[in-house]
Amino acid sequence: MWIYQKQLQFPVNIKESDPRLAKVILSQFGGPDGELAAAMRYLAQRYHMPDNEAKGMLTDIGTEELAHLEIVGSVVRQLTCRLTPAQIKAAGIDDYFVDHTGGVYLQSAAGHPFTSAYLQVKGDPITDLHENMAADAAIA
Amino acid sequence: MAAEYKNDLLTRYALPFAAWEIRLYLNSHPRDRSALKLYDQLTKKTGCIHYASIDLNTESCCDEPTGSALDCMDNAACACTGNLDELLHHACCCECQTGDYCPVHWSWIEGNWPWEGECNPCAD
Repeated sequence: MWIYQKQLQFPVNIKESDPRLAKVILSQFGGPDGELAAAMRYLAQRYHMPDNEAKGMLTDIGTEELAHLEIVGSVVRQLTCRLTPAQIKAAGIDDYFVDHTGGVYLQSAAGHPFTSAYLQVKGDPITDLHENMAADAAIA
Repeated sequence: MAAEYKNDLLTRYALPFAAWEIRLYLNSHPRDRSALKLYDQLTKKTGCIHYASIDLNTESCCDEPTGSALDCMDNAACACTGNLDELLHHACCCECQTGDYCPVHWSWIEGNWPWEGECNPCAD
């Protein structure tokens, strides 16, 4: 189970709003290679890993990705606070605003909602780890 | 930058992060002496939540464990080889007459994980 520590893993204190940037960063929140996708990959893949090192590693790193999710959500929130209608329209995020207002929704920058289709859990450790590397852009 | 702010950044963010990374390292190197020691130091300094234990098997090389598990290893040379350097520099595994004992090690990954139930029905 999980314990929640009421502190971001890295502090977020953004002084100036930037709604256009927020839309792009939103992909790191609910997009195909974002933090939620990473957390879900690891936390789901760990059940079928063959050894304790892998189970432990995926559990701990999956947990850390949830912490990262929190950071990214905070960034988006701070980039979009106190916006005027004119700012929203000028930044081209009125199509987001109409459905979510200032809420931080789990979607990609292009507007696709988060889905398990972004990730794969194949039950084979080599395959699953390659899936993780692809998402993490760790393949040279 | 004010000294208290810098100190705050260190104790609230940087040190817990370092401790977390050591955890990840210990998952695959559970008997790495310097990592165990570093983890112990970091978590003491920051008081951060750390819910994995450093397991102490007192029936082994340490005759009279006092203080923390790691203090014990510091003060008592391995009863088997009498070689404290060995303990300090690599896996603290002490092969006594009665077999292998690793008195201080990272035990987080050991045993059944929650989804395996009590008897691990899926184990091969």
